[in-house]
Amino acid sequence: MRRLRAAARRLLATFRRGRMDDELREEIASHLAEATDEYLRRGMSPDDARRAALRSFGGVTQVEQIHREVRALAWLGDLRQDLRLAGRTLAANPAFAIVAVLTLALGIGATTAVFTLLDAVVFKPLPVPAARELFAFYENGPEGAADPLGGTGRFLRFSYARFEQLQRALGSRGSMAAVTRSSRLIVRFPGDADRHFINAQFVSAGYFATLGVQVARGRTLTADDVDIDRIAPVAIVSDGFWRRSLGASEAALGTTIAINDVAVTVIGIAPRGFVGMWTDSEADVWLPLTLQQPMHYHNNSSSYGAIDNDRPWMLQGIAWLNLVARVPGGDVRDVLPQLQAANRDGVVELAGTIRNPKDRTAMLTHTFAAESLSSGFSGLRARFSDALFVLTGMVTLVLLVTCANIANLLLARAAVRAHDIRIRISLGATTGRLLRQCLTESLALAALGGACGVLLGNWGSRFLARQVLDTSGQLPMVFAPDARMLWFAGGLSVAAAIVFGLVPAMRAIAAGRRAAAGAHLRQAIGRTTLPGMRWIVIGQLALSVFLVSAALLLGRTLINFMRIDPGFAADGLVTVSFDPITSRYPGDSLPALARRLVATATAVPGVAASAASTCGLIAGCSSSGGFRVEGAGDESVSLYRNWVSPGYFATAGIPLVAGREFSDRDGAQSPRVAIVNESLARRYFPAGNAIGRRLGASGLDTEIVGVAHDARTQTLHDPAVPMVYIPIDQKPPNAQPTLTNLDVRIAGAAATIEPALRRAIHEAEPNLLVGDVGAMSRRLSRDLTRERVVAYLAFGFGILTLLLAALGLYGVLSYGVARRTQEIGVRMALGARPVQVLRLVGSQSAGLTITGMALGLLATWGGSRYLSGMLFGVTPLDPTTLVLVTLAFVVVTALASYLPARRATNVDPLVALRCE
Amino acid sequence: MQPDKHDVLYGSLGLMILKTLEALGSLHGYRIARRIEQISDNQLALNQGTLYPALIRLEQMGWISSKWGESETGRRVKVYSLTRAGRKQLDAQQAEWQRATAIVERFLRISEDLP
Repeated sequence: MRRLRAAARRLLATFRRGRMDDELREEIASHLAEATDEYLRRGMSPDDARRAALRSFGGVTQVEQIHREVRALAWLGDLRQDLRLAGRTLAANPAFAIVAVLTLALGIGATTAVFTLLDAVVFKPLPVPAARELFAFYENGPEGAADPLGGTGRFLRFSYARFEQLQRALGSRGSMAAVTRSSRLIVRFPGDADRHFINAQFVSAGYFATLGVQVARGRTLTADDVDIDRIAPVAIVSDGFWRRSLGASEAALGTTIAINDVAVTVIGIAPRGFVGMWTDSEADVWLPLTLQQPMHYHNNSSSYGAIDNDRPWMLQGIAWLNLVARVPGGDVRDVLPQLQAANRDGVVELAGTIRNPKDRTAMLTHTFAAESLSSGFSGLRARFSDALFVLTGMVTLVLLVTCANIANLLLARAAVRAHDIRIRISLGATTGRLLRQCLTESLALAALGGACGVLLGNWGSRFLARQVLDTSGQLPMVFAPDARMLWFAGGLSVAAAIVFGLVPAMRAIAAGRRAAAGAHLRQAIGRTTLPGMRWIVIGQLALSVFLVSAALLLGRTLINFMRIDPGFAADGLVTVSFDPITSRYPGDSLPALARRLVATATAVPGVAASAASTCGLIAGCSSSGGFRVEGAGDESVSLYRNWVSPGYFATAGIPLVAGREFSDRDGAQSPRVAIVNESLARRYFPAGNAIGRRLGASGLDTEIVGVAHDARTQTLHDPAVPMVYIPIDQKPPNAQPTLTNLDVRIAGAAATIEPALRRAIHEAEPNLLVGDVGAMSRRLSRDLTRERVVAYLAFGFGILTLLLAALGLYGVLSYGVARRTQEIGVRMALGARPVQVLRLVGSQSAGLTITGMALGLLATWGGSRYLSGMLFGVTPLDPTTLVLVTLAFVVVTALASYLPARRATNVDPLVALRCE
Repeated sequence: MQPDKHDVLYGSLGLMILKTLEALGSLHGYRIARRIEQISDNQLALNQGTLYPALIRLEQMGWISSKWGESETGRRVKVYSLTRAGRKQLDAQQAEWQRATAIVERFLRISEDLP
C-alpha cells in the first residue's frame, strides 16, 4: 500500500520535473548559504567559506542527477523526452513525416482490412460464453452430394429420432440441441394484411441453454414448448427483429404473429448481438421444431425414399436437423465413443430400411465425428477461407514493402541523425538510450500511421465484406468492428515500427559512433547506410515481382473462369425462383401451376419464351432419384432429375445434340419420354446413340428421345452432372417435384421487364411465394465473386508494390548520385564522357534490378505451391506470365533510373569539385 | 559512500534521518546534515548532498513530510518533520537493528567463551 502511494508520487514527479528541479535548486542554494554562514562564523574568508561549503556538500550536479533518478519513474521520463524529441524532429521534416505516415496508413490499413475480414469469416468466436465448449456433429460417408456447408462427403444433418438417441447417449456429461438452418417463411402482423418475410430456425428445447444464451426479455423455451403432443405455438424473436418489426416495446411480449399461417405468441426476446449459429445467415425468430409440420416447413432435408409431407418429421428416415452440443471442459473426446456407439446403432437401424443394396452398404460405412463450433457455421468460410488466407499473406508482403520504403527514407536521413548522435555520444549517451530514442521516433510515426490505418482498415473491411457477400445493404453482425481489430492494428504498428526503424537506427548509431571516434562524418555514413539501402531495394523489387506475377496469374484465372461454357445461353435470360410447397400448393396441382406460370410470363411484353423446371441453372440442383438404366444392370443408380415444361431447352438456350425437345404432345396420357444430357449418355451409352434406349424409376418404362448439351446446374466451378430431364406433365401421381424455377427469355431490357414479370405473377398467383427475379448474367457473375475479389485485390497489391519499389529504386539511385557528385565531377574533369557517367548509374540500376528480379522469380517458384490451389487454367510457372513480368519490370526500372541518370550527366565538374 | 537508490531506507542514512527528526523535531536539510555529523562525532564523512535524494525518498514513502518555512537566519528553507507512520517505521526499524546486533553480539561472545 505504501509502495503504491510512493509509486503514484513518482508518477506525478515525472510530470512535474521542472517545478521539482526548481525547488531542489532553491533547497540546495539555501543549504550552501547556511553552510557558508557557519564557516564565516568560524572565521574563514568568504571565498574559503564558500569553497568549504561546496566541498562538504559534494558534487551539486551529481546530487541533482541522483535526485531526479530517485524521485521519478526513469523510463517514463525518458519516454516523455524521447516523444518530445520525436515530435520536434518530425515537425522539422514535414514532407518526410507526411509521406511516411500516408504510406504506413495505406500499408497498415490494407492489412487490417484483409485481416478483419479473415477474422470475421474464420476465427471470431460466437458471442456466447465459453464458445470453445461447443461442438457440431457430422457423419462421414464415401458418397454424398456436396453439402454447401461441409464439403463433399460430410453429412451435417440428422433425423429427430437420431437426435434423441444421441442426446440420451450424451446424458449428463453435456447438453445437446438440434437446429435447422435459416429458412424464409411468411409472416403476417396483426392488423396488417401484407405478407412479409422472416428468417426462421426450428430448434429443440435445449437450444438456448446449450448455447448459454439468456433471453433478454420474457422467457426461454422449455421442454413443454417442444412437446409433439402439445405443439405449443410460441416463438422467440431476435433483438433486431424486435426493434425493426415489433416496435421495440415491452408490449411485444405476448403478441401473436402469423408465421406461415400459424398463429404464434412471442414469449421471449433474444439478447442483442445473438443471431444464431450461422454467422452469414442470421435468424429473426426461433420456433419449436414441433411446429415444422403445422408450418409446412420442408426445406434443407434429405432422405432415403419418398418423404411423406403430411406427417411430422419425427421419424428416422428424414435428416433435417443440425446437431450442436456443449461439453463442459471443452474436450469432446471424452464423450465421443458413447456417441459413436449410439450413432452406429441408429445407422444400422436406418440401413435396415433401405431397399437399394448399394445405398445400404454405403450407409453402413458412415462414421460419426465432431468438430469445434466455437466460430459457428458459415457458408462463407467454406467458400472463402482459402482465398482469404492467400490474400492475408499477400497483403503482409505489401506491408513489408511499405516498411522497406520508410526504412530507406530513414536511412537517407542518416546524415542528420548521425550528426545528432555523434554529439549525444560525446555527452555520454549509451547505445541503449540512443536506440530507444530512435525507436521512439519510429513508434511515433507508426502510431500516427496506425491510427489512420485503423480508419482505412475499418472502411476497407466493410467494403470487402460487401463485395464478398454481394450486397449493398446491412452486413451481418459478425462483420461489426470490435476491439480485436484495434489490437491487431496496434500490434501491427509496433511490429512495423521495429521492422522499418531498427536497422536505420542501428546504422545511424554505428555511423555516429564512428564519427565520434574521429572518422570523417561523410565516410562514416557512406560505409553504413548505402549498402543497407541497396539491399532494401532489392528486397522490395523481389517482393514486387512475386506479387505482380501472382496478380497476373490470378487475373488469368478469372478470365479462364469467365470463359467457361455454362452450357446454356446466359445473355437475355431472366430467372424467377418461387416456392409452391411452402405456399401450400398440392403436389398434383404443380403441372397446372407450371403451365399457368409459363403462360403468364409469356404474356408480359418483351418476353420471347418461358419454361419452368425443378432444377435451376447455376442454382445448386439437389433433386435426385433412383433410376434403372437399360444396359446398366438391375440395380438402380442415383441420378439428378429435372422436371421441365415443354420448350425448356429452347428457352434456356441449351442446344440439343440429338433428338427432340419436349412438346405439348408429351402429356400425362402419352408414352413416357425423357431427355438425358451428354454426361449421362457418355457414361451409360458410350458406344453411341442414346436415342431410343430406355430407363425409368421403377422399370424401363421411359424412352429417351433427346440428348442435351451439358448445362451447369450446380455452380460454374462444378462440372455438369449426369441428368435426366422429364416432362412435368408426366410426373408420377403422389410425387411432389420441388418445382422452384421459371426461366424467361427476354428480348428487351431486364430492368423494365423484371418488375413487370413480378407484378404479372403476383396478380396471377397471389398466394405463391416468389423469391428472386433476376438476370442470369448477374447470377453467373455472383458465382465468380471469389475469383473476382482475389484477382482485383491482387492486382491492386501488385501495382502498389511495383510503384513503391520503383520509388525505392529512384530514391537509392538519387541518393547514390548525390553522394558521388564529387567523384563524378573528378571523372568528368579527367575527360569522362556523359555516356560513361550514364553507364555508372545504369550499371548500378541494372545490378539492383537483376538481383531483385532473380530473387523475386525464385520466390515465385518457391511460393507457387500456395498459389496453385487458387489457379485455374494456368500453372504458377507459366512462361507467358514470367515474360510479361520481366518486361514490365525492365520498363518500370528504366523509367525510375532515368532522372537520377540525367542528373549524373548534368553534374558540372567545376561546381562538384568546389563544394566540400 | 554512494547510496543505493533502490534501497528503501538508503541503508542506515534513512534511519539516521528519521531518528534525528524524532529527537530534535522539525529541521531543515542543512541542520539534519550537521546533526548527523555531530552525533557520529564527525566520524561519518558524509557528502551532505546525498541527504536530499534520501529525503525525497522518505517523503514519497510518507514517513516524513515537508513544508517551506524560515531558518534561524531568516532564509527560506524546506522544513522536514516526522509523520506518525514515520514514527512507527522508526520503532520497527529500531527493533530490527537491535535484534540483528544482539544476534551478532551473541556470536562474538560465544567465540570469546570458547577456550
